[in-house]
Amino acid sequence: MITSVHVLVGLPILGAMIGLFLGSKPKGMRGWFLFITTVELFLLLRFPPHIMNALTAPLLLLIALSACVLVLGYPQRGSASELFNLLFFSGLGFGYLLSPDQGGLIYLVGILALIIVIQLRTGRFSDPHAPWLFGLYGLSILCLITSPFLEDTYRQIALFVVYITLLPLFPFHGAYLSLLRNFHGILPAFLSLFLPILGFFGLAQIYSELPEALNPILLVCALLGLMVGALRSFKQNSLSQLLSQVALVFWSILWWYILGPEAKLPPAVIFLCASSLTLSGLFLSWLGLKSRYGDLTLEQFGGLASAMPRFGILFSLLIASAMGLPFFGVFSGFIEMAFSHSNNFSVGLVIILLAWFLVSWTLPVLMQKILFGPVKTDWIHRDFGRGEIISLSLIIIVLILIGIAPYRLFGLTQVPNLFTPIMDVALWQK
Amino acid sequence: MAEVSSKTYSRSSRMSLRGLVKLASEGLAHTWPMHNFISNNPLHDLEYLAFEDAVDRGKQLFGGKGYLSNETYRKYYSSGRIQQNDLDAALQKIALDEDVVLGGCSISQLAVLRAHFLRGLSAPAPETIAAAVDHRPDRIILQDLARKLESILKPADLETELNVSVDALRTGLGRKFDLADGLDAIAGTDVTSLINSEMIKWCRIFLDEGHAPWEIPGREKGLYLSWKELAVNASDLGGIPKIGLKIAQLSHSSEDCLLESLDAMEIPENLRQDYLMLHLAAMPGWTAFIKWRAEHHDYAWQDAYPVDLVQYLAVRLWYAREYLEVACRQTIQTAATYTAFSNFITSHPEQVFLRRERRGRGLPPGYADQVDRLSSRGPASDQGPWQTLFAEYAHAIEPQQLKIKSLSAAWRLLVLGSILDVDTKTWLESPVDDLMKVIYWIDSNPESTHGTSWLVALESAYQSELLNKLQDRVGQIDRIDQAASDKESQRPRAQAVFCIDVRSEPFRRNLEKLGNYECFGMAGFFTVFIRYCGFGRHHENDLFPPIVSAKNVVNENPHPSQKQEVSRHQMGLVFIHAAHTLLHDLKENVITPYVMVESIGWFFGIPLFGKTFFPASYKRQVGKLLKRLAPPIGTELTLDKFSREAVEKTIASEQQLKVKNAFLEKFPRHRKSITTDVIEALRVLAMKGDLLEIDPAEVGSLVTGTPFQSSEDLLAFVQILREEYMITTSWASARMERITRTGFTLNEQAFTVRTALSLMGLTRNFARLVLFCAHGSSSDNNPYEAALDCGACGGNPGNPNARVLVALANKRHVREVLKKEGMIIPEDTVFIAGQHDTTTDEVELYDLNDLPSSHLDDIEVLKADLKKAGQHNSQERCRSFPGIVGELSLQKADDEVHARSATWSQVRPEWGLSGNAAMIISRGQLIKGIDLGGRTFLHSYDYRIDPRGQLLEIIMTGPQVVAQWINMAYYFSTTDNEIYGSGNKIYHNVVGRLGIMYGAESDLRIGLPLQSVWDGPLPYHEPMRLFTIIEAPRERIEKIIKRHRVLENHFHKGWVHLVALDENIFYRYTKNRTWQEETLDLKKMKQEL
Repeated sequence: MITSVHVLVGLPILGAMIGLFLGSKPKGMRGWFLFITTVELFLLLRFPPHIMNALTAPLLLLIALSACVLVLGYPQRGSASELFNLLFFSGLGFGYLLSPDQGGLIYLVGILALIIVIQLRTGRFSDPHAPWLFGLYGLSILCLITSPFLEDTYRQIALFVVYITLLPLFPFHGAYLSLLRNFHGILPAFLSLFLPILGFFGLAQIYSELPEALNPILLVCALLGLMVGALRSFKQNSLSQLLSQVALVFWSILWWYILGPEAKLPPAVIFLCASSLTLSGLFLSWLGLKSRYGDLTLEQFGGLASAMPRFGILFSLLIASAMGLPFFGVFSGFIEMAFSHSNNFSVGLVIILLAWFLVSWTLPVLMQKILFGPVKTDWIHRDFGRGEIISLSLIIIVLILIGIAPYRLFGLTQVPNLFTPIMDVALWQK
Repeated sequence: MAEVSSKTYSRSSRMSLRGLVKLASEGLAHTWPMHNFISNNPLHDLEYLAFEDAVDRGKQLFGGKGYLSNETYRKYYSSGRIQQNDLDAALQKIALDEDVVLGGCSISQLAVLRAHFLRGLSAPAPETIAAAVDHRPDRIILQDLARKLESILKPADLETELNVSVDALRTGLGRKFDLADGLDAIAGTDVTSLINSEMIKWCRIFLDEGHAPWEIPGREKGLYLSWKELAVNASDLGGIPKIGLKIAQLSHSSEDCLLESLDAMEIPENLRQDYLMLHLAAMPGWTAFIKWRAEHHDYAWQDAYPVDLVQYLAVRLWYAREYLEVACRQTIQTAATYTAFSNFITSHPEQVFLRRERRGRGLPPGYADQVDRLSSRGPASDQGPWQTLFAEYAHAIEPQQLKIKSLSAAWRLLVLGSILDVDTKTWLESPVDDLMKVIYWIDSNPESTHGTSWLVALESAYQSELLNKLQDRVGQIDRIDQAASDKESQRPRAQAVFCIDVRSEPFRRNLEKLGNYECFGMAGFFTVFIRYCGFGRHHENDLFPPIVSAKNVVNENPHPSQKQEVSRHQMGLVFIHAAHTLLHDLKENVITPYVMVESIGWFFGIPLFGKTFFPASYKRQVGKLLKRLAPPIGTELTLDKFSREAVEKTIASEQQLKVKNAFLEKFPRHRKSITTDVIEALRVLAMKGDLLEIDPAEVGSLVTGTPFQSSEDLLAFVQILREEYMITTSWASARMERITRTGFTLNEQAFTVRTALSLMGLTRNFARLVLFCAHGSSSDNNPYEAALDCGACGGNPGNPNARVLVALANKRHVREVLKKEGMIIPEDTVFIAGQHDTTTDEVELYDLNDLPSSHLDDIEVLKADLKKAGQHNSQERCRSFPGIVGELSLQKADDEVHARSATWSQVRPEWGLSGNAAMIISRGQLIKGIDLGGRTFLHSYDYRIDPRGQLLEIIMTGPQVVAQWINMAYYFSTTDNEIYGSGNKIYHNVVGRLGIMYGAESDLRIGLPLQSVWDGPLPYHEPMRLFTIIEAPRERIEKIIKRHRVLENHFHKGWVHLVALDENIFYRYTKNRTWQEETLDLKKMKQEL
């Protein structure tokens, strides 16, 4: 019998395969993929499967929304494989999030294998992080395959290794950073959001069963990752490299919160959703620039505020979101996380604030470099088109909604503690 | 170099350094303080070069652009402002008569160039071309064409590029960029910014003209010494170790300090002038202002706080060498000397090339990372890693560069094809050699060089239009003039003389429409060169063009009949001044603002509310209030010179007062012993020659009855009088000279009037009323207010000049002298002075009480007509203000211009001289009734009364030169407002009451603000070189040009276009000193059209 879960998982995968046949007609192909992702989003909103709960609901919605928005804002033409991959990833992701118990791990293996295949096809081995990608994701696949055959404790540890690779934790962040830098087109924008969501979801399921002795070590790793990301973001020459370091900072903050004694689900989910969506939007903006001007260093840009005013406004808003300014979800999530700790002024919080400050300084500098200064008159400037504007505007609207809407709108009020076995708690309510 | 010990240099070295600095500063123009804003050519001192060369030199020195962007010129073309024939005429000068045949279709070089100019055939920048190609629908064909071209294109050779680049760097060091710029370009340091930042700090606090409530101490010692005294206390911020100690050890002579810095940096002797010029050009605003001040010793602030470029450079180069020392050690590990830096470039070519590329054009991200890594890790001297990296980079990039080259060529061909309707396949099928020929045509005229031809086309279009307008009047002038002479008994209702300013043109046209008015134009100082001190003012203003100087001083004094009114007026002024000072002192004091905001802060709410919501009425009410507090009084001007006796008496009185004060200071308890005789005796003694020659016995009698102990004691007191109280013959002579400068002798008076009237050809047929109308402006919250005033009066309102001339011309004795010289001014002719407010178009008439009652009716009629003319002028001007749609009624236009003058947020109270483009020196009949659009300077001149050309010479070397200054100031402020203009008013920040900075720290801004010359995406002011039309015989003009270098530069070097109207034919003066008949060209042009 075909259930709503089958439809939600099968639709994007099937859609992706059909889309491949439209490869010679770029407009038609893009239209098709947009149709599929929109239908997927609609189905998710209209006919939510019964197994959706307080955690999976927002995560599924976020994946569906981002897939739809990224296809809409995709600026390049002619590359069917990227859109195919995107849809394939989202289908597999739905499968993982909606499958009960161990069944979902198969999907996860598929996702990681597909990443390795893509990396092999891009052929960028010169990147110093490339070995990390093969090593860590290869190890994760191994862990996933062997986990059903291991004892409980070892199984948890094996799965934990997978999840800290997906939701990057220092020093397991290399693979994530590598794919953000090296993958072509739309994929970094999608994977920057997709993988941490999967990692967070998996972690939420096994974390309560992990030995508490690991906590201090992981906390140190999180804080180290935070500082490494914040400091390295200073010295990056390329926007994708800089954004990947900012991503590391975001996920390190999330780790710091998760590892705290009183971590609750709502702030973590808010922060996860808002940060990942912000990153996705920034990577999409970068893709817009890259498709117009090529892969350039930050210093080579300048004066785009007057040459591309629409881009300038949207990019500034995304930067404002990433900086953690009010009314955007990142701000709400972070403030909620920071003040929900009983020991508000811990050393960790001080480091977090310091890193936050550093990143908040780097991001406006980045914006200044790209948007201001003399206009490059020997470049051909094309401001963002309708698809890109709608897509980024939707991201910004959702970020503001996440920032200002009450929790109950997302059905998150029912889950007081992140480590409560959440799969049994209140189901997704429309 | 870290341990500084001061050296002493010989006098000849110092003198030679001063000469070097003078030569180095030649490229700098002058910048006046903003209260005397003078529109000046920012490349004034480069006028000895051809215009195009000067523009290039300006770009090299200051980074300024001398032409509008091609995009803007294209907008002019598409709007019809530039016609195709204008463009073709300009292009024919650079196009060869060549063509290629592609696909059976012949394509000429002219057609290619035209397409290049109209569309821009440049390919996108190399770093973006691959991405740009991906977006083209015809990318497949483009890539095919690129592959075809790749076979013939020369492959890239990075090694050669490296050698060329490094060689250019080495040879340019000290000539095109200084050490700090060189290091910044290679190592990514910020040394130049650090130096600039220090200099801005010191310049703004030292040059302050009364803005700072707490001024720096020791300013009277000059910039260098005051800096030395204060900076010795500086902390080691900025990384200069032991900064205080080093400054303390510097020489007391700025020349020595500068020479020491040059020596320490090992700048070769032959490069020193260029090197100093580079440092002066780093902040051309501040240095141009210092240059101006240093050349104006009589300027009060310069007199009090002397500054010159040597002092400036001494401080600057000291910072340069110290910051460089730190930065060089940290980045390239060499000494901060010319030799070491030059050696580093030679011995580390790969490193220099890669680091420079990283900072300049940019490297691909992967290589940029590696360069950063090597720069921060490895020792600079270790060349191995750099050579390896360069080899890798060359290996990777060379094939890409060839591909980029071919893509770029293919791109240009396809764009050209789309313009010339050449089928894309034709390109693929055509021989590669032909394609390369087309590419060569495009490459040999890069877009960066198009400005010159575009400018010629723009000018040509305007000049044709203007000459066409005048052409219709040519031939009728003599007839009209004859008719006027025949009807000499029919005198004009009045004659009005306006400034040559372009804003006068529409006003006089509107006045002439209202009746039988005859208008004249001449420079707004009306040949009255004066320094003027208004009533109640303490300083004199220079009311003459900046190219000359004045020897006469005029003071404004209350009318003798108004003693009571004067006392009330002065009391009112004292009250207003006290209130104003109190408020401002309280506001700017260190402590009081804390209390003041709460206590009287609300008081500022009234002007805030009034100025914001009801600007015009607020201004009116405040004006009324001020008039009630200090009722205006009638004044008169000191026109006549004092007699020698009177001056001597005045000086003696002043000296006696000083002697008395000195005596009382020394002997405060002997007030009674100081009698008039004693004072006079002491004064006479002090005025004698050498005191040693005075026999003490001679002064013995003076000792008696005074507190002096002995004759020696008395003589010592006399010495004090001489040294401290300046009671000397030299002081008395100087004072005498100064007092005797006040007023004019009768001959000077007659000469001034005669020159003024003859210069504009007004020597007969005088009307009953002759109005000399100066101009000024009124605006609020506008630091550039002086830019809207009369440039011929040194950036001041010109009413004092008009009043002086009128008073002189009305004098009976003057008229008698003139009569003897053959200039008869009728008894019933009365001269009156007025001032046109160019913002509100109101004309104020002065000294009407002095006029005979017989002329009151005439004056009333004139007043009414001036009002009407003003309203019509406002209506005309309102058409050009942004945001005003359609034609306003007269009343609304009047309200609009008044509101503009009073609104404190108004960035364009008026357009000023924006739009100026031409100058016409001719009889009034040539332009009467022609709408010249407020774009022409108009100087009246009748060549028939000037057979020897003396008057024309004055006009060409005076007003015409000033017009060229104004024209060029507007020109360059438009072409590059950020460099040659003062940028956007939004960021303006008044500094030291002397000028404008951008934000908290920037170079002193020169030129005009963006809002004065640009209107949205297009310039309001069309930047064109001045087009001078002179109605006079060619030989006469030619002789004058030959006599004056400035005119030779203007006309032979392409700074000004000249056309002569001689025997009813227009002749154009060419750069090779010949005349070319213009009418033939016009006819030809008309035929073509």
